[in-house]
Amino acid sequence: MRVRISVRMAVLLCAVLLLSGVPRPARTQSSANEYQVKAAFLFHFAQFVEWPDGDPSLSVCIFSDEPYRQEFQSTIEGKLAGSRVLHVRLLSQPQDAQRCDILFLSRDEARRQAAVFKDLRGLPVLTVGETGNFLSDGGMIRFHLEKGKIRFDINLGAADSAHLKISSQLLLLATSVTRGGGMNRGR
Amino acid sequence: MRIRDFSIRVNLALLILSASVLSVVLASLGFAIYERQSYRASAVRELTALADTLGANTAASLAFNDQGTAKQILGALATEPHALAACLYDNQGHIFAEYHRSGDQSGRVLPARHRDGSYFGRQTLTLLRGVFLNGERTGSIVLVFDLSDFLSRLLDYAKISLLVLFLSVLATFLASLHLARSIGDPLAQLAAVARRISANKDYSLRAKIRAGGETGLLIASFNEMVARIESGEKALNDTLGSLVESEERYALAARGAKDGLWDWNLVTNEIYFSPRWNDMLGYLESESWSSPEDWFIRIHADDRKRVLDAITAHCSGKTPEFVSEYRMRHKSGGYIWMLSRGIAVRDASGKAIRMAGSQTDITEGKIADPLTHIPNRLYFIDRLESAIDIARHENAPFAVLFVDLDKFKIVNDSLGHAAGNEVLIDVAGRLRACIRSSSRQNGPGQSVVARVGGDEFAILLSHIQHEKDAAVVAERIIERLSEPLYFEGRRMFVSASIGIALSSTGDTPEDLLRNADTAMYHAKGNGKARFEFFNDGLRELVVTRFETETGLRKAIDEHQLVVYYQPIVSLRDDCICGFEALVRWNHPERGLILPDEFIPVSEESDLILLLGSWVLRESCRQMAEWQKSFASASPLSVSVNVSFRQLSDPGLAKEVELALAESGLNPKSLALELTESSIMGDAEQTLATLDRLKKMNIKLEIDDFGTGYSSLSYLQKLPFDTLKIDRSFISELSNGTGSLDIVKAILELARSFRLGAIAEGIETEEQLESLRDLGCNYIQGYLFSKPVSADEAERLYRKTRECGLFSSASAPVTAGEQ
Repeated sequence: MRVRISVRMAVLLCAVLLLSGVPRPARTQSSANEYQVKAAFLFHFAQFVEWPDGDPSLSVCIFSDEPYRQEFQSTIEGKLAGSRVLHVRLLSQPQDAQRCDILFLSRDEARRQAAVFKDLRGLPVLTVGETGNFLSDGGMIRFHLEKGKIRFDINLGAADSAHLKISSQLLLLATSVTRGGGMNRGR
Repeated sequence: MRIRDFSIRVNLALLILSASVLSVVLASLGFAIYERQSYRASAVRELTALADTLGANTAASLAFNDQGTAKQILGALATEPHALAACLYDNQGHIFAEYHRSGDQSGRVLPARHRDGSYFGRQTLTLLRGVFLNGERTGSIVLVFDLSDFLSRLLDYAKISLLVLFLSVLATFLASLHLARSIGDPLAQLAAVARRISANKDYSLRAKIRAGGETGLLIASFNEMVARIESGEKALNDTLGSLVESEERYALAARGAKDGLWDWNLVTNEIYFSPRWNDMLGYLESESWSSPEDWFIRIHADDRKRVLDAITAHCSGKTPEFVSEYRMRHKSGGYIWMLSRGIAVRDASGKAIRMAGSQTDITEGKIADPLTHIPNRLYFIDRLESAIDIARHENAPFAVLFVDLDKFKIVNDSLGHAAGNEVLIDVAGRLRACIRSSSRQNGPGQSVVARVGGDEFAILLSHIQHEKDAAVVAERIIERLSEPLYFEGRRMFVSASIGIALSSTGDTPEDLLRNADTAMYHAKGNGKARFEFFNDGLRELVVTRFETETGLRKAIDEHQLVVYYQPIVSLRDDCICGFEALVRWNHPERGLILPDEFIPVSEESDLILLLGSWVLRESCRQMAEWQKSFASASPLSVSVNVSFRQLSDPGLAKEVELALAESGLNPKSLALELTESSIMGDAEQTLATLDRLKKMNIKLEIDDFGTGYSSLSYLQKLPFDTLKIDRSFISELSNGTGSLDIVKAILELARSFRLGAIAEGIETEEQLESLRDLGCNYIQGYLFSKPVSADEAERLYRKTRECGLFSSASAPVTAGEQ
């Protein structure tokens, strides 16, 4: 398994390198499907992550300029993760993110992500993104495509810092799991 | 063979074995089922837990559509050797991920078609479970497990069960053997003993088996029971045995005695005759006679009434038993003699209700002469009767021969009874031989030889057509008997005189036999050793003799007999010294009859005893009277003739005593004259009688001395006083034939035996002188006087007493009877 993960990591690295320079794709039908899946993923993440506070509602925040916010809202709004009800919040400013439980940053928010991460340091907000350096910047879960399928990587160190407990099952499903802000690997 | 036919031992063993097998099988089966069930339950439980773990682990994979991870998770089943396959389905029923053990081909189970649960296949267990994420079903998981290990475990379990089964059966078998031995063996032995007892009927057997408990009790009870049966059986057998024994004894005795048995039910008048009873009469043993008539009808008509009277007498209680001898007709036609004895069974009132007895054939004893074993007189008469009967109906003339041995008495007396018997047996044999040879000549006949008297034989010759035929046989008999016979080395001669009567001469057996007897006497009179036929002349003789006999009887009663006296003269003084008493019959029609005519006839019957007795008494009476009238120094004596019949009569001495007592005559005055042949009779008896008479002081004289066949020894042995020299010697004295020497010798003999001598029949002076010269002292004869009546005798005596007998030359009496 370690070996396979190593191989996977190599593949992942290559992919990250390849994708970093890719321009943001316009909104298409296939992209809409993609973000619908990602929204579902977000819902499922809520099921495998434990927050330190016991708030009955769970806020899933996206920025209000998010082109596929429609997909997010339809997929997530009102769903139950355990005993908690999920709500979608649209953020207009990055500072608003401190009150979220899950924050999704799309490729378009790449310029803002460093500032956001700085603001959210030490706060129990699960950050999910798409950009290549999302995890190294201090994000927690990052989507990526693998053979046309959406997969994700996890920065466990970031989550730990935010006092979030990620289920081992989720960790198992992650293509890679890093520890700390850097390129720490493993779980 | 059904089960209950086996022995108790086998049954017991079978029962125990089957019970143990059943229990072990049932227990094994129960355990196996329980094992299977519990295994299945635990298998399902384990598998469910596994499936749930897998489901939980793969739920995230399903949520994040990560088939690779799901497959990885399922691949973890490789460490579980029994997991054959696993399959993860999403909610749409599509396969999301699957795992197959290398080489496994087991199918997939679609969750859409199946509900959650466990499904057992032949060797597999398939489990279908839902996959849940936060309580929401996100898919299904199917696990297929291999159960072959379990099955082999179950098989091992079954093997162990079998082993246990075998061991328990073995143990049970051994236990049952012991049990069977302890229970079954005693019972089997008991059964064997019982079987032996019933097979051999041997109740002395006992079951000698040691056993406790109920078996012991059973054996003890069995033995007790057998003991009771044995004692009962023994008692029964004893009773039965003695009964059977006595019955057998009787049957044996009856058979041994050759007796026929009869058993007469007087109530139903039915009678049972034993087979032997029938057999004796010549009938089949199976002859089914049941009526007393079958018996009585066969009894001789002459005997029937006597038999019936005897039965009646016994039934009415007059006789203690029924005994009767009678003749019965044999099937062959002849009669056989039977002796029947019987006894009646009576009811309470004494009435005879049943009578049973035996019937014995006594023909042999009845008809056979015990000495010669030829038929006796009785049988001869019987046969003669049937011969007469046959002759009456058919022309079958026959002859009766009367054979009398000549001088047999002498043989008997001189040589003894043994010799006499021997002679009789020999003669009987010779006669039979003669008849046999004559029978052959004359065809099949029923000729019979019988002994009808002491030395008398009678022969019935059948098929005699002519006198000649009988004469031939008679001649042969005489010839045969003339051959010498031997007794104790001694050679003897016998001869016989035969009288023949043809069947035409008489109508009854007695007639014929008497006729033959008469003819025989005639033959004897004609010189002996010859035969004579009975004829009309003899018939007249017989008639005369018969008339004489009846007349003589009448004569005694009517005092027609008289005693005549012939003087006996003493030559010493020429005086009458006594008289010889001689009987005369003063017949009213025929005049005075001499004894020669009637004495022989009287000697054929007991008449002689009557006659002799009368003469004796009359003579004594007369002499006593004379002695009273003529008292004398030497009293007169009287000599009385005694015949041999009288001498052999045991009553003679008594007779003499009576005569002497009646008359008062001195015994010394009485002399008895006996002939030589009569003395030779029954020697012992005679000697005893003579001794007794001698002791009475009676004189004994031998009459007709010198004519008989006598041995001189008796002169010494017997107590005689006087010899009377026979007249035949005297009459020839003067003609020089040598008689003088004989008389001289006799006188010498008398002198040497100290006996007196009287010469009889003196008729001439020469004879007188010769005797006087020879020294004979007493004479008797016509020279002096013939026998005269008592009156005459008295007158004669009176005259001679005074003047002497020969004082005058003239003889007082010269003429008269012979």
